[in-house]
Amino acid sequence: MKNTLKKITFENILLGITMPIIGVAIYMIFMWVPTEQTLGISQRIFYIHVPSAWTALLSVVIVAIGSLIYLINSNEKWDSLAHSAGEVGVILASLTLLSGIIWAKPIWGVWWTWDARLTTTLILWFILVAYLMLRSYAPTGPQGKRFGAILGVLALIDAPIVYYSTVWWRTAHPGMNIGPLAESATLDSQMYLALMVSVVGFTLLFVYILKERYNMKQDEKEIDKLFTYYG
Amino acid sequence: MVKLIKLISGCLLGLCLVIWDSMSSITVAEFQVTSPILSYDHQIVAAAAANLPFLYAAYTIAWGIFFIYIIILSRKQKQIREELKLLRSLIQDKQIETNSKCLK
Amino acid sequence: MKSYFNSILTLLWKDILLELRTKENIAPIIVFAGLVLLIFNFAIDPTPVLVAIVAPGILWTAFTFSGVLGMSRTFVLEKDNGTFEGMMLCPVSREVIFFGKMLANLSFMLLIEILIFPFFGILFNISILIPNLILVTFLTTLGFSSIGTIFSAISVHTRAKEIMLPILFFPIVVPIILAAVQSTSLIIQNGTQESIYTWIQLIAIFDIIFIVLSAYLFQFALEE
Repeated sequence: MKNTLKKITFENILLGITMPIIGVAIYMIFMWVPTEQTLGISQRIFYIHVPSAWTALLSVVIVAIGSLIYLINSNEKWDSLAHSAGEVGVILASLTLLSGIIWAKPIWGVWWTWDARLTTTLILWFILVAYLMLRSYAPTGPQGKRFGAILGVLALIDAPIVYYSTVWWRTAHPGMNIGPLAESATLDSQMYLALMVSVVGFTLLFVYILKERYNMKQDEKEIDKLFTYYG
Repeated sequence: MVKLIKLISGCLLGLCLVIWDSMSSITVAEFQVTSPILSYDHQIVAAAAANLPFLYAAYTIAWGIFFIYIIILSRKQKQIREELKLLRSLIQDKQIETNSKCLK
Repeated sequence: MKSYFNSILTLLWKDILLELRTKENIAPIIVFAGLVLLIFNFAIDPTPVLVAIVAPGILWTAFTFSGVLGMSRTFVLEKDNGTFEGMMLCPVSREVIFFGKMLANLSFMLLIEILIFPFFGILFNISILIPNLILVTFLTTLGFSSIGTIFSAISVHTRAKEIMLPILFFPIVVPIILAAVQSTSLIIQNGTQESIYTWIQLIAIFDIIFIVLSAYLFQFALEE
């Protein structure tokens, strides 16, 4: 009811900016960047692993901020934002975990290692899944939204504690201490540029999908309102 | 608008799958051609090529996840739009009815 | 200030009295905790060398699972008997209700742990009367009860009821479970005081942050 490709809306402008950047990113990842000597061609998974990890973390932050503001002023817009971010966040966290696993196998020879970042992402994945489950199992109406908001706020406060406790845990039991991002310290300038373009494109895509999901949530709320008001 | 993303991600997915098929056969050929005593260049190419399946698996999964999510989203969006349209027309009819009753 | 503490203690006494009269929560959960220890013994079959490595994990798994069971029960009684509204009508602030419930959960869990520790010590041949171990147990249980109170108040209103609590609870308390297992392991193996202290600090920080947060957020969990 709002959005066709012909109208000049925020979503369409965003799409218009995102698509070319993603196109450039894909060209850079597959054609332009030189192959890494030690890690081989599968190192290119790095260029999709890092942006998805970053956007997954961003969505946890958005869930927390939306939840906090909803608890304070009970404006349902913020709750829609939090719920949408939770959904997109689960998908991005799953993508991060899967790409991390597929990267780990040829590099380290194992599917999983209790590296601090991977462990934190796994726990954040569980928290986001718990958030979505709570939203769907909780009673409809403001009470259910409040429950979700409480979990959202607690999740963000918990995330750094989980990260640091896992870092201490891994230093106590040294094993695979080299995380995927450790290589960014010694990145070639070309690789760094490709990574930055990829991150920017991915983030814009994330914002676009989030906005679309948010619009859909608001439409659903309008339907509910119309139903209750007009019977 | 979502159709455009669908189109592009579908093309990319298709591209990935096509390239995977064609390249995996080339990879096998590479290994068959190299001799037991490999030169340094061949070693790098062989090592690089050995990880190709992982690279393609990762990118196929990534685009696959996005593709599937966008399909689900656009279906839901269509449903919501139709429901809203229906509701709005029903409300309009009801309002016209009540207005004409008031006038009488 | 005095009335604040009096209200909290009254609520705590209410829950303790309820449990003393019905005895339907504590006894089965203690047996459950003992059974978890037993099952793990068969599952892992520890040799004397292995015991020192796996025992802390087994202990804290038993405590975590039995704790989750116990904490979900406290609010289920309130919901079934319709006393939630009665609680909210009390002329006390919501934090008082939270602290009362939290202390009730804390005392139940501590009772379970006091009874299970000798069983654990005997089964695994480990000495348990160590001050550090008591401190770790107390702090971890404090963290469990704060998170468990607010999440069980939430989960009892959902369709999945008690099943929802572990799903919400476990990912959030991973840091203190980790810290408790690591510090217990170090204590059993006579590690350095400094290394044990790092983990105890982590548990203490977690407790402070989450007790304050949960007390503040509890009012939103109780509203209709």
